[in-house]
Amino acid sequence: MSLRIKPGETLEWSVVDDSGDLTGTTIESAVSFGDFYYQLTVTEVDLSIGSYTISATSTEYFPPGRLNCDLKYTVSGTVTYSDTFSVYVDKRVTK
Amino acid sequence: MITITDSNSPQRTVQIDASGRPANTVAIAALVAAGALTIQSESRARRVRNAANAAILAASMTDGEVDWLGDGLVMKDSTATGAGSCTDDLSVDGLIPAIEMTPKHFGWSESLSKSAQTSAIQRMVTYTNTINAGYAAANNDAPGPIVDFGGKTYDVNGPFTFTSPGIDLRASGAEFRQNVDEPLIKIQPSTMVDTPDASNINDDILQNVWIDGFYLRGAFTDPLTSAAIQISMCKHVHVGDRMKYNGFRRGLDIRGCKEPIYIGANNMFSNNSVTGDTGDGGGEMIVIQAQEVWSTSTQKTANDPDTEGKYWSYPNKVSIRAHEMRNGNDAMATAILIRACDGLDVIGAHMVSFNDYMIVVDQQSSKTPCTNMTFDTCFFDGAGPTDGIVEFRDPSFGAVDYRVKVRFNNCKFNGAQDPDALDDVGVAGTGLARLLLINSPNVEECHVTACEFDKCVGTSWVEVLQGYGSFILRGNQFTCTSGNKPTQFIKINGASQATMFKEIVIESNTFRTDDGLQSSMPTYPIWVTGAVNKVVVNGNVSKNGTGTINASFDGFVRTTSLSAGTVVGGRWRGGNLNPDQPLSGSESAAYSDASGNSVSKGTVYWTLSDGRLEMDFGVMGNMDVSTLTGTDEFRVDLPGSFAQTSLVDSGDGTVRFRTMNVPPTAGTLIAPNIPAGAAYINFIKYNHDGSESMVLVSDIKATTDIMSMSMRARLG
Repeated sequence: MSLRIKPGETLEWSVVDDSGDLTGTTIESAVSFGDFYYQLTVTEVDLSIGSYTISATSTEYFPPGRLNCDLKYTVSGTVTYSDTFSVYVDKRVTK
Repeated sequence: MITITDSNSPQRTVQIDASGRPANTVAIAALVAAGALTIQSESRARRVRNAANAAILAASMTDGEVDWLGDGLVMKDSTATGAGSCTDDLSVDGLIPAIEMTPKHFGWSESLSKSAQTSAIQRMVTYTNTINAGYAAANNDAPGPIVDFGGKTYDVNGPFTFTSPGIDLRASGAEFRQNVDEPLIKIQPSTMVDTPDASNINDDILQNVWIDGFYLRGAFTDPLTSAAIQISMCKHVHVGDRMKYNGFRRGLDIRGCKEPIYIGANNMFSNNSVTGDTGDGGGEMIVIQAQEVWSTSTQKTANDPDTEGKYWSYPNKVSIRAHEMRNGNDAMATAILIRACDGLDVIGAHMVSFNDYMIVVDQQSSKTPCTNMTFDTCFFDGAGPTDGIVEFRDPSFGAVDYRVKVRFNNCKFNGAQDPDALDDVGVAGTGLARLLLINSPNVEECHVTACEFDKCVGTSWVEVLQGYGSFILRGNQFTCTSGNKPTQFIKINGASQATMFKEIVIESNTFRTDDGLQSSMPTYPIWVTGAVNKVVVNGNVSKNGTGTINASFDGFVRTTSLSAGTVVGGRWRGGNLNPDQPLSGSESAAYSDASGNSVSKGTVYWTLSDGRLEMDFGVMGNMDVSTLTGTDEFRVDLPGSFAQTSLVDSGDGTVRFRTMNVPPTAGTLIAPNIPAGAAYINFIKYNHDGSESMVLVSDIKATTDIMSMSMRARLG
């Protein structure tokens, strides 16, 4: 299974990172494809156990197709990224 | 692992393998805050795989510092040995592997003395061995370090001994200058210090060795006898395409390694600037040999590997590709010395100028094979002081468990008629003695196919003195000129050795001269002498110049002192049937004829096996029997049907072969009492109307019942 969404749907992802304590880490995320770039909102839940959420204010104008997405971690100027993963945007039928 | 789940549709989820990066980031940041690490770029930090190990690395340093090099962590050592050194610090398992190390991080500088440069490189070697061992023990899924020497010149003396798995040595033309008699680079398991364990050889073998881009240069002041690179008891060995060797007596020494062993398009060049040193006849560019293996010193003392074969580890599946191997003004003896291997393919190699044989097969032990070897599309260029091209050396041991098997396909054996012709060959030569010499009683199989032999000044281009199984020369071309006319192209000489090939086949070869002169051709293409088992000569062609069939050999095969065995001639073109010296009457040993019947003398047979007699028979019609005497016997055997025939003495110095146009019957013609002084046997056809005519091609072909025919000459 992959992450899929249709334009206009509510995007709210729950994230669990089992690699360890992420306290003090700034986490950012975005989706993009071509000229399209959309900054997602990351909200801490409990970083000591690697738990946080990712959401979008609106997905109304997400272009159908495959968007690229990753996670950026920053701690005191040290930066790492996750692997890039895909978010599939399906065409909606019902208006 | 990062798991992302759609809160509104939980079935939508994805997992990302982030290799612990988020938490690593936290740990690395802590190291940075504590001053243990300096992050030089974001991209480098991205690839840190294990911050916990990074912390261990940082904490383990007591007299040095942790730094970034390329994409990995490295330690910069400020103490060479003892407490505080990298070696001492790194006695911790599970260290993070460093990536892309260079000698500079171990204190090396081009401006240092030879001794100081050597020490720096040794520190790096020690560090590599230690960190690789730690990596192997605790972190098998992580990459090992790359040792990158770049393109610098290193004035150092080896040996630099790498003993850990996953050796990856890279350079971009880095030049190493050495003047001690040691291997410059040695790669071997740490157990080699004592003895590899014979009870389980594979456990001791060092895996994954990669070397590429080196220019190894030795012998600035003294000729060396050691190898530039010595690789022992390793497997998965890759010596890259971009290697150059110069000035060593031995270039690459492969000992007891296991599959696969790949030696890329190396450039091997031997040159010594010492005045007057024109080579001592020693040294090889590549040596492939076995390694003794022992579990204990007691075992080593008590056992002989030659009687206990399990104490040998021999290389298998060795690939050598497109080598350029040549000598300057100090010639090595041999390009490739094969002492033990099971599986060797040499493709596209070019070898020039050696002062012994270029390829030597010298079996190391009766318990080690030299088998499954193939040379394909190689150019053996005999310029300079080269003695010969290929030699199978007599190993001087008796009963063997393994024998020698080798094939040569599409190779060029160039005897270098003018051995000094090449500008870059520094040592003058006198021409090659032989192109192929087989003098081992253990050669089970030697097949030479579609090869070219030319420009050799030796008297016998191919010489067989001993053998065991089969020697086959098929579809090759031998080309001589007036300047390099051999006495014979091929000499099968069983005169002095006890063991000879069971069968020798010389088939479908072309013997020719490229200057178009009959005088440039040898008197006999093939000479068989002494004790042989069976020599079959079939379907060969001799050409004078580029076109016409050369029918002017005195004899295609010369046989002298044939004391045992048979020589069987099949269809052939060019030359006359002439057993040069039929066996003398004093010889009385019992031999077998072609059918296995006991005969009183050695015998030479010419067998025309398929009835296609056109040219062959026509030529034989001019057979020289001048050496036969009045009591000799000339036979024409007709195993198949043939017209009723007889041989008659014409009384005019010829023997006539008479055939009548009557219903064919099988039979044997015997022409006793060949007239003294008869020069030829002429095949004359007596027709039923009393007229006579020469036997021509058309006449024979008209006798459709001919299925086979053999002729032999012997003394009665």
